Amino acid sequence: MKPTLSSTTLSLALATVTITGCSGGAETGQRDTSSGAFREGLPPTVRDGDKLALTDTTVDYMLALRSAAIKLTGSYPTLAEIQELQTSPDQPSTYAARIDQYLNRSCSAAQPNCFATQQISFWRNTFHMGGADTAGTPVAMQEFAPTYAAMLVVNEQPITNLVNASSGTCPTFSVSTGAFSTGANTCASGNPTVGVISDQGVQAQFTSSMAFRRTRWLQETFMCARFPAEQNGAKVSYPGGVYQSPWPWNSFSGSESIGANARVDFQVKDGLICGNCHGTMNHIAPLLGKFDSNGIYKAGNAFQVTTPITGTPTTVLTDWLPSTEGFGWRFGQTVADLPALGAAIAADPGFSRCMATRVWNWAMSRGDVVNDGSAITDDLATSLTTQFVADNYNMKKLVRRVFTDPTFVRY
Amino acid sequence: MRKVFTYFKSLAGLGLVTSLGLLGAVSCSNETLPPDDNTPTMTPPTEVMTAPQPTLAFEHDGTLAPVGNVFADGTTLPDSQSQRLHYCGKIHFQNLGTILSRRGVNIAKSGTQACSPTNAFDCTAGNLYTNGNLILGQANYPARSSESDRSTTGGIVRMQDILIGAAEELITTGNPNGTFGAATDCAGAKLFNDTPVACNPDGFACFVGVPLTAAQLQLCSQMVNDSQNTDPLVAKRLTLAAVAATIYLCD
Repeated sequence: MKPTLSSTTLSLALATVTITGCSGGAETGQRDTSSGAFREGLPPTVRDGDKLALTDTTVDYMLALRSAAIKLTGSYPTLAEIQELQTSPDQPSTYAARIDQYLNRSCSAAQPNCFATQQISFWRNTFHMGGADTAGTPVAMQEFAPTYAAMLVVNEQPITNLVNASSGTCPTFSVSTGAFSTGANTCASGNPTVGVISDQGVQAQFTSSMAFRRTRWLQETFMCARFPAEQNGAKVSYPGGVYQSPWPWNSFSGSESIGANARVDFQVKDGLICGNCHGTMNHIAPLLGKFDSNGIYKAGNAFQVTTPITGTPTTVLTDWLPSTEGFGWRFGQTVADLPALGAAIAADPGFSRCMATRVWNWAMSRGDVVNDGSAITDDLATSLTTQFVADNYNMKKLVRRVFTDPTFVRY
Repeated sequence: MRKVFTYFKSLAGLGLVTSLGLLGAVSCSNETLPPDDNTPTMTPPTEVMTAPQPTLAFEHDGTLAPVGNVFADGTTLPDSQSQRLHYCGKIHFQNLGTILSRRGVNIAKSGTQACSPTNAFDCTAGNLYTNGNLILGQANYPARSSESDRSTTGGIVRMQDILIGAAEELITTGNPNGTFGAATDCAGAKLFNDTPVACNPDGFACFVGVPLTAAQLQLCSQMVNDSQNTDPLVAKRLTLAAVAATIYLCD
């Protein structure tokens, strides 16, 4: 028989909610406009918790340990860890040492959760793909990219390898030994290796007409921003809006640059200015257009994606660009092939800022930088990325820095 | 018969209200007053007046929606403030399972439920957890959907149910104080003291991952001694679930 809640018990439970959730209002920005007797009767620290949350945070290493343990190990701290910190005469040092231990703790058969598994989970959610811990039917090849990213972090290799490594991007992870495979881990697809950009699982997961979804994935995953990516061009007004991409108006396909034979008109300007996004996108997408819907790269001149017009024909270059136009990551940054694209992404200042933002948001339980718009300020970004780049893009060090940051331990 | 008449009268009333509502809506959107006898009838336009629309041959994955998520984290506070706050993130589905299992709760799915003589429904923590993966926000990667960052109302309710199920496993007739097993992360600790009956700081600290404050502990002990709870085991289970559920809300 299920126990039932008495009204007294419920009241106490609700009061507990109020106590434990005192900073909840601030994050949602909601303001209680009612001024009922109940609210007025609350202690100021509870009643005005949302207002005080911003100005009255206090250092709380116990709460910080709980949050860090969940994110870095996948579980709460053990009783021994809680008691160690609780009774420590030097909580900052004890806490920092515990963070180091969490970061270096290996998985084992008895301890199947560790920093490596948490990192794999982090990257699955960042990449929107994974071969485990999912509803639906897991797709095995979707696990390589998150596992590779996690390996770079755990083994303290430059995270720029994500977009420009030329080998070894398909490792596996053994929970029982706590190790990533270090053999050839050659990807079975036979695709050329350019970090995870050429990963079969990535290319299959984000397949779409004209490779635009793959292009968008690159932009949002590694630049942490949606298209339009470039808005620094001379502003030109059209009935449908203002064109402000730096790419010349006739550098992408449409009724003016191609003429009447254009199969897709990206130069529409009477309802929406497609070129603001597609000025950039169309210079990247052809590089991703030679992977078929299963993510397999097909050498040769033919593209493997289709154009969504009558008959859904195979896309040709002029569906994206005039035939004289080259590829590019950004205006003025020509890229001839996938390795050049990867190098351009790695060198983009937006890449390091994006990685720093993702780690910060993860630690602070903020929403996704793209979907929720949870950005960080230039000051914070600069302070994080300066050291991150100096550490040769060592993301594990970045994680440690964030989880021991004075802001992280304040509640 | 009277009941039927009343029903139709209600429908008629509803129709009137709806009509008035529609009229109001139309009036508002056109910013015109309804015509009266002295107002000349408006001549309908000779051509269809529609805003120019782009030819969107492509599925844009919703990125061109005119209104984004107004409740998104990034729209609630300036970055300079929001970046300094810990948000209330949902405990990931997989991590929730790990946390519970390392505290001695069986999260495996069992076979036939026997919660009720007439209905089969999930009542163990394991079944509530494993069958609640979608409501608890687990990722659906084949659909390009990551684990959700926030709990839903349904997810929070499911969490409460799971914790009640967990409490029933941890606090039993044979283990009325909820002493944790030796193989758990809380080995040696117990959830409740005997005399007087009170919440044990170590046991609760380990179960929720952080020591309770003095006020929370006091509230906890007050709850378990609530005179309306005549069954001591039920009192302890409800107390554990109530306290834990509020703290398990956030990661």
